[in-house]
Amino acid sequence: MASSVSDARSSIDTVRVIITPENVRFDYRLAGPTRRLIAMVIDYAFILMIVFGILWISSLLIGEGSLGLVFIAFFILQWGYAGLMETFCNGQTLGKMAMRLRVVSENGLPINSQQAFLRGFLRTADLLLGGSTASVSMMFSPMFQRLGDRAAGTIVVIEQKSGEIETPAAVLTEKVSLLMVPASFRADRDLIEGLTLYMARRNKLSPARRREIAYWLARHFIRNWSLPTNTDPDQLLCLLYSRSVAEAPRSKGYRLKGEPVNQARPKEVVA
Amino acid sequence: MKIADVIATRQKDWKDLESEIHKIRGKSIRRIQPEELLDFGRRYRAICSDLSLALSMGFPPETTRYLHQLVADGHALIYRSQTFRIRDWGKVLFLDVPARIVNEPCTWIAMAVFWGLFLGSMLGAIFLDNFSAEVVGESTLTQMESMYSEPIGFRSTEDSRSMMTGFYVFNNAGIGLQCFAYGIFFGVGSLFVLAFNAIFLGAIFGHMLSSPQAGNFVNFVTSHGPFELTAVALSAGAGLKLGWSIIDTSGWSRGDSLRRNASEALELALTASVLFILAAMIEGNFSPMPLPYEIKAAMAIICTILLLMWLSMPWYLSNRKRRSLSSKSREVSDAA
Repeated sequence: MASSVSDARSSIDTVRVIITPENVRFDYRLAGPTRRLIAMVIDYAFILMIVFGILWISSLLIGEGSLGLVFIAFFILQWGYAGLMETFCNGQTLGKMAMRLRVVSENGLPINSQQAFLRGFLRTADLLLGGSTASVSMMFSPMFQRLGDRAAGTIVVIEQKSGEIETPAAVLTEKVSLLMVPASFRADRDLIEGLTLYMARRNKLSPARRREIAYWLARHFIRNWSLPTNTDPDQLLCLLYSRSVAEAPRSKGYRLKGEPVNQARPKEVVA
Repeated sequence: MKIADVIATRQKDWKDLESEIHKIRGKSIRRIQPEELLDFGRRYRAICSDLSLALSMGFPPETTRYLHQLVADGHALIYRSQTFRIRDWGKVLFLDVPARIVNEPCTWIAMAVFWGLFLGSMLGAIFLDNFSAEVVGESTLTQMESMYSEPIGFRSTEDSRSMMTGFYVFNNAGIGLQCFAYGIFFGVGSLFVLAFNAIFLGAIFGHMLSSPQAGNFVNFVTSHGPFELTAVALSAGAGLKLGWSIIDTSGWSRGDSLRRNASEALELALTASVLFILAAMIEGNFSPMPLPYEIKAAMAIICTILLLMWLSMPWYLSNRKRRSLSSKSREVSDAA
């Protein structure tokens, strides 16, 4: 069976780390209270809509006696809606689908019907005094579990959109050259992680901001490799990124090691 | 090989697995082609090692997150859990739950609390002057008296019966489930709801029994009493079990103890709901019929006998099993 670990990262971040029997660890991103509250409001709005719909239609068709039907429908929806939806839609209600949430077991597996109904029933206890019991329970839980989640052993996670897996490309201008980086340079894991994080956000930043942020990492390389002090820190990071993660597309000013360097800027080349 | 190259070469496999997961999800295992299944397993293992690679090489965050989600989806598909197993329901309802009701101290405590307070409150309402008015309130009492001032079934129609059945399900079974849910507060919530209902109902019973409308009142409440009152106590018993598992953990952590007991408590609460629904059917359709009291009482006796039979079913079955086993072993020893 899958087991789970808690490490330093998962106790700070809203991340749940799962270790599979294949001995792979993967993360679930935990959903916070606000997102879940909105999902719940959507669910209740839906339930009310259905109940009033039944009330309206059945009073047109059947008349007085239909009220019994409405009561039973309301009972089933009030107590069974979450349990049934989460059982048959793999941990999702309509509200959760809209907010891209999913209920899973603490060990990362899909929930079963017992867990779904248990956390559905215990929602009553969670909503006591305007939801204050749920908030207290979530506050003291490392996994944002309300009382129902604790009893059922479930967590609510955010579904990732499966979308872009493109590696961001470094943009190199003529100001830098690959020769600035010593041939013996090898980026270690932490540096690569930092570089990829920077590259993923780089396009959303203004040039001045890029230089400002990149400076704190780039200054070490500028000092250690005695690069000119006016080296563009952003471009230096792009260069390191293209050396270690992804080749930059060939553009004007980009040169491979050994190619003749642009004569206009010989000073920037450190041989 | 640079990270970008790894991603570029593996990307197609990832996309394939993604579409495969979407295709397989929701299908039962028997309806998946064997080749499909083998292919899925191979791809899933490959993605697992890709994720390890991504974590050790430091892939771009978006790619890593994508792989995390892909592994999580595959994992959830491979280790999927059972949803409804209707085949097991019979065993749960007729063997597990009755045995649990008899064996669990929680259900006995709930029964004792309910009947003790109910009878005490009833006697108080009969013998003390202002008791019922203090507990229930003057207006409710006069309302009750006017409700039962006419013989039962005088104005009952098809419509009103179906409406009242629905209302009883909604109200009573709802209160039962609420009583169960409040048990999570160390059982205090269940006890509170149970005690409140016992005292309230007891006071009404006591008052009505000593009022001139006693005949009509008893005629109405007798038939559905056994199921409904048992269901009230059972809901609270389920809630007590939930709450007690946090207090007495028998060596487990509080969270684990709660999780281990919660599903059993849930089954008790669902059984209580079934009883509530049965009671509501009787209360909505049979109780308002203008029938002599003897027939109503006979219904109550039948219901009580059914309940007792249901509770003793596990013993009956296990005894029969033992008898058949022992007779078999006797045959074996005779043959030897």
